[in-house]
Order: sequence, then C-alpha cells, then structure tokens
Amino acid sequence: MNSSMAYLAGAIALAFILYYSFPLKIRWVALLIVSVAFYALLSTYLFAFALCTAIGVYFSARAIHKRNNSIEEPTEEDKKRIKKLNKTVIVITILFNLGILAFLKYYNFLGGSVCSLLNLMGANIEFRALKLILPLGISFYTLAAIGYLVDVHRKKYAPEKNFFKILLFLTYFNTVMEGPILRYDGAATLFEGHRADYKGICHGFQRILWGLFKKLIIADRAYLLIKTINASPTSYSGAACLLYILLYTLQLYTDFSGFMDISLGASEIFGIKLPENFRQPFFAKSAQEFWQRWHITLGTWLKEYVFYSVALSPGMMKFGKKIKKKHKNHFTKILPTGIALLAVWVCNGVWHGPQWNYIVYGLYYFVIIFGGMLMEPLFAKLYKKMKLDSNCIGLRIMRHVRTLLIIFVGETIFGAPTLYDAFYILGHLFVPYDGSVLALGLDWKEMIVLAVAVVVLIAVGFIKEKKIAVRDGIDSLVLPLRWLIYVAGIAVVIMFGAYGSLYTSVPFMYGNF
Amino acid sequence: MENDEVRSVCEPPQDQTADISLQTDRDASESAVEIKPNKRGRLICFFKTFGFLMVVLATLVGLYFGGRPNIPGPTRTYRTYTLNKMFSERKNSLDVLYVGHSGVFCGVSPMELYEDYGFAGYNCSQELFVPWESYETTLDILEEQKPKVIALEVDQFFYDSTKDLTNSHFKRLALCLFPFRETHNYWRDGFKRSERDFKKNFSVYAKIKPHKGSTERQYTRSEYKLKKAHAEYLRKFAELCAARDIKLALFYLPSLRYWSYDKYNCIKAFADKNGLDYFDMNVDAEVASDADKKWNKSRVSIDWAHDTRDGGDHLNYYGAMKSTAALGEWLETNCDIPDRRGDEAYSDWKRDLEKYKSEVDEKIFGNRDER
Repeated sequence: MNSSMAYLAGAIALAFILYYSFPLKIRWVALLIVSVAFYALLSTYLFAFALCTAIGVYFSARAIHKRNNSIEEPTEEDKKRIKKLNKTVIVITILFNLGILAFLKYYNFLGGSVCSLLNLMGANIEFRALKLILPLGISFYTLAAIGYLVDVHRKKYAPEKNFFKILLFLTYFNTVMEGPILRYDGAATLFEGHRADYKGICHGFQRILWGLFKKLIIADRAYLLIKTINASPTSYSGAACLLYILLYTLQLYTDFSGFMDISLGASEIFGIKLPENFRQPFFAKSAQEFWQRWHITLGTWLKEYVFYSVALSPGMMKFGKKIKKKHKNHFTKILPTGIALLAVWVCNGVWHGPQWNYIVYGLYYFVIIFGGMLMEPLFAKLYKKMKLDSNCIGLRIMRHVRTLLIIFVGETIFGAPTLYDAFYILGHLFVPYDGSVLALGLDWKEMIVLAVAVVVLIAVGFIKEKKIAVRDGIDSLVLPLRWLIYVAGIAVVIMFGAYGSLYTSVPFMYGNF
Repeated sequence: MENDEVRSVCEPPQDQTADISLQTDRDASESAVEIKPNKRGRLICFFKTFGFLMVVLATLVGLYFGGRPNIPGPTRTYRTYTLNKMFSERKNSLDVLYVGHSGVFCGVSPMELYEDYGFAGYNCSQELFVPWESYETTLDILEEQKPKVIALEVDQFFYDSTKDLTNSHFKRLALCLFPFRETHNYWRDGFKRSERDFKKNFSVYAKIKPHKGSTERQYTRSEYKLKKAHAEYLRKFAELCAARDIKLALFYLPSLRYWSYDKYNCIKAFADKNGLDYFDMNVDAEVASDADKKWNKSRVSIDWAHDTRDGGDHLNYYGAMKSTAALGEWLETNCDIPDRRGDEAYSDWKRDLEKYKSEVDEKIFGNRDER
C-alpha cells in the first residue's frame, strides 16, 4: 500500500462518517470538506491552481449564461454580438486553463524540443529546464472544467449557481487523482443527499475489494517483471520481450481499471453513480471499439469537445462541401472526418504527457482507425468477390486477434521507457532469449499466482460481457455463503497482494498523467 | 458533410450512453422517494454489519495465528523478510552478529569473513534501523543464539532526523495494526519456515554511482552530543553484552555523507570510558591515536568515485569488499572468534559459501542488482 492509497482509504473512511452524520440536504458539503482536505494534504499549496480553475470557470459560465439571457427578444444583430462576446470569454478562460496545464506539464518538453531543433539548425541556445511540480489531477480537472464551460456555452444546461458545488465537481476526492473525467450533467448524484442504503454500501465495498484484487494481486505483481526490463530494455529479447508486452498491458489495465473500481465503489457507498471508464476493452473487435471500451470518459470528452468542435466547425463544413463537389470519391467523403480524428488523436497523445511515446501512441491509433476507414470499401468489395460473409466466425476471430495485436503493440509504445526502447522490444520479439524468464523478477510461484488471478479476471470479464449480474447473484445467496465469498475475497487480497517489503509499492499509474 | 456521418465515426458505446442517461435522469426526487428504514430494519442492519466485521476480524486473527508458528522470528518490531531469515539459522550456531542499519548489509559480507577467517556471522541489519529497533532485534536473536561478539556499527546512533524516527515509529505502529504487511508472503515458502539466507543478509550491489565533489573532512576536537534516546540505547547495548558475557566491538563503516570527526570523537570517548574496542574506518591515520593508527593507516582506502552505489552514502559490492576485509582483520586481532571452516557441524556453511560465490559471479559479472 502506498501513501496515496493510504490517504484515499483515510479519505473514504472520513467521508463515510461525515457524509452520514450531515443533514440529508447538505451531505455534499461533507464530500467537499474531505475533498479539499485530501487535495491540500497531497498537493499542499498547489491547491491554489485547482481553486483558480474553479473560480475561472464558475464566473465565466455565469457570465455566458447571463449574457445569453440579457435581452428578452434579441434581434439577429444582438444574437451575433452576444455570440461573439461569449466566444471571447470562453476562449480566454479555456486558454487560461490550458495555459496553466501547458506551462506546468509541457514547458520543459516543448522548450527542450524547440531548443534542440534550433541548435540543429545552427543556433546555440542553452535551454534551462524548470523544476515544475504538477498539482494533483490537473489533467483531469482541467478537462472537466473545460467540458462544463463548453456545455454551458452550447446551452446544454444552465450554469451552477453555487460555487462550492463547482469546486466539489472539480476536486471530488474519488475522481481527482485519475478520473473518471466527469461531465457536469453526469455528476448530479454528487450533490444529492443520499440515505444510507445497505445494498449500495455492500456493492460499494464489493467493488473496492475487486479493485484491490486487480491492483494488488495483478498490477503490482506484473510490475516485478516490468521493473526489471525497464531498467535496461535493450538487454532483452524473445520470450522476455513477449512477457513484457503482455504484462505491461495487463499492468496498465488492472492498475487503471482497479483504481476506477475503487473510485466508483467508494462513490457507490455514498449513493453516487459515476460514469464507467472501462468496459471489457480486450473484447473489442476493432481499434475504434477498443477506445469505446478503454478510458471511456477521455474518449467521450475528446469526441464531444474536440472531434465535434473540429468536424462541425463552419470552416470544416465548408471545406468538406467544397472538396466533395470537386472530387466525389470515398477519400474526399471521409477526409474532413479524418482531419477531426487527427485532432482527437494528437490531443489524446499530448494529454497523456510530454513524451514522444505518447504522441506516437496517439498517431498510431489515428493511422489504424483512419486507415481502416479508407480501406473499408476495398474490404467490402473483397468479401463480395470471395463470397465471404463479413460476419462469419472465422473473420470475427481474426478481428479479435488483430485488435489484440494492435492493443499490445500500442501499449508497448505507450509504456516503454523511451520510444527507442519500445521499438527495440517489438523488434526483438523473435530474437531468442538465452536467459531464464523466471529470473526477471517473477519466479514460478509469483507466475502461478499471477496466472490464476488473470484467469479470474478473464472469467469475470466474460461474465460481465454476457451481462450476467454477478453482484445481484451474490446478493441472492444465503447469508453464510455470501459472507464466505466476501471473507475469502478479503483473505485472498491480504495473503496474495504484492505489498510489503518483498515488493515495490507502485503509485497508481494514471496519477502521473 | 452530414452530421450523421461524423457521429457514426465516434459513436459512444450503447452501454455508456445508457449509463450517462441513467445519471442525468435520476433526479433528486428519486432519493427522496427511498423508503426510510424502520427501527427494526436499522437494528438488523447494524447487527449484520457488526457480525460481518467480527467474522472478518476472526478470519484475520486466524490467518495471523495460523501462519505465525511458521514465521521465523517474532514480528513485533519492523523487520523484513530477509532479516527474519536470521531466525532460521541453527540454534547457537552464530558466533558474531554485525548489528546496524543499511550500511551494514551493504558494507559487511559475513560469507567473505567466513571464507577468510571462519567467522560464523550474520548481518543483523535493516534499512533505517534505529537503535531501539536493532536493540530489540538483537534481544530477539539472543533468545536463539549465543554469539561471542557483537560488532555494532555506530552510525545508527546519529540519526537525528525526526522524520526517520517518526517514520520508524509509524511503521512499527502500522505493523502492530496490520502485521500482514511483513508476513503475508510466507505462502511463498509453502507456509514452512523460510530457507536460510546463504548471503547472511548481505546485499550484492553492482551499481556504481560516483560521489561528486570534495572528499575532504573538517577536523575538529569537539564531540557530537548524542540524543538522549540514542545514548540510552548505546549504553543498553554495552550493558546487555556485559551481562551476557558477549564482547561488544564498535565500528564505523566508511561513510562520506554522514561521518564527521565530532561523531568519531563522541564514540571514541564512549569506547574509552567503557573499555571497548572501536574501529573507525573513516578517520585519517594522522589524526588517530597511536593505538588506533595501526587500523586506520589507509586500511580502508575507499574510492568514492567507484565504491559507492549512491554517490557516497552506501557502499557497493566493491566498497564492501574493502570494508569487510578491514573489519575481518580487526576482529581477528581483537576478538576471539572461533574458526568454523573445518567444523563438521558447519558443513551447511560450506554450501552457503558456494551459493554465495555463484551469486556474486552472476551479479558482478552479469551486472544485475538486487533489491
């Protein structure tokens, strides 16, 4: 257990006591108190950044709404004027927030890259990197804040009158570290007072336990091997690289989705329903579908606020129409979509952080998805010619396997220490490894535990994919059996969790983004 | 371009749309409609929760005590798995204990001393060990072993950072509340007593991280004033050894970052007052007293550009070989420790030595680190 996990456990416990001892109407205040305390404890004075963002979007949203309703029956000219003014407000606020994020997160990367480029061209500039500390969850709350502002601008809902509700929305302790990235209209349950619900509380704890299973038994155990190879990726090949590719993806998934289970489970204890961030991603049949199942709230955010903003912008609409008129073919039809997709994937890469890995990772998915769209008519023709049913079982299996390969390659690009290392690992997959894979940090005992845990993970995935309500099933069992399952779960996590001095305590991976 | 086309590219999954709409549709009135549980219901609920917590507690207690007889050594203080293996050594087989914090498991290799002098010794050391922890661990091990010598590394008596102390107390408290932290992975040994550690709690670090900057030390005649708690445990060590007829030998491993002359003066004064031997591997020959000169004349010529793994705090394998050789020579001259090399009862130590040698070969020539 690492310190952020311990703080989160403390925050959940404190919130549980405070939440249910506050009057029903102001129970959200208990969450706010805990959230602010949690943030201040982990990020101290950097709370000021989150506060600035909250103040900024609160007043901007109010101003936009007020201006929209300032004239009862506005003329066309009024509408234009209001739109222009609102646009200025929203652009300034977004730039302000993105500016903070960009400066803190990307200054060293961008400055260093530009300087290297200039030096290559003959200039002699010395770049001074700054020691910048990121406020907790800045990448997550900035997106939530921008989403809220744009929604108010798009008149999806009226802005919140109570500033403290906005502050809670942005810094809610269960989501501030790694998300899910909330949308204001999807976070209504955050502000409602919920009575203690026995079933909800039980389900919440169940889900936390499942999250701990993923994090402590699988993710932190897989890290034993990842750590060894990360220290010197170019010394390995063959089976060692294969294990790295498989286990890194597994670690990232179980670490991130494990935290989501803890976060969503802890919210369920308070009767709060948060959006899901994962939906059995490895069952996807295409790269596009994978992103509808993996980090869903980021995908939804990028779709709503980047994809639509670009694709439906007047300039792009005009360009689309013009190009279609000139050359009517499949490429010109999908080109505007492609441009919007490029924006989405560049944003996706850049959002993850200032590293070439992430940018290439974003572009990798762009090439695959856009390439797939380009080839679609070709494949349709090919199926027709070969008289193949595009839905036949053979093709379905092939699609699954292909998608898994895409995922594993993508996550290796994402997770290797450097881009060069990623390509080295992928390139040396078929070069035999002369060492023992059992000497890479995971001995056979740890391997067995990991393998059994992965089987359980896959089985649960299948059950969820088939939409079988496991939790309701457990609820309907007789009490002794039900308790036996819970107690066994707790005992398994305690006994087989990869914590303590034999293991390395790994902070939640997405906490760094 | 039609909007539909755009939407079809990045359509949200059906389930997720359902999820979001569920939340948006769920209004405040829904929670108000919730039926308020009656008094009886609440009571049942309370007893159920209480009962469940008791069952969980009973399971945890069962797990703890179920595994306890197999855990080598008591766990009431903060120790790790590796150190606990000390309790797996045959009873009364250890002749010397090298006690101290991380400096000891990095800087003293008991198997080298066994090979060169036949000392059957063990590193009773742990990361961030503070005096009361090493004292308690020593007390614990003395229940099973009757060493002739305790070689006490004294840098631990200068930990003056409150953070370290708080950290150590916090860890102890956490371990009392949740003992599984250090014991849960005993399933790895099939719930049997763990295997003996053939390195005797020495860590082979191949990594070299040179010290940058000056290696000069400022000479002073002043004495470091030990904190009350630290001084008390230094005294306790002396009393414990006197009471059990164990020779206490004090030594200070090479340390660039934390050693200073006032610390040397402090321990030297304590050693002289109590008639103890003290071997400081840092002090220059010119400064050492005549009696000590023999031991400080470039005996431990640490190259801080090569022999440290973290820029001057801990020694790496190469530094450890130098400090171990010096310690061995000093112990051989000053203490009466039996040579166990030909002893039939210590045949397992021969096998340990072979394993140790092959690990050193792999780690130093294969250049892989542990821990």
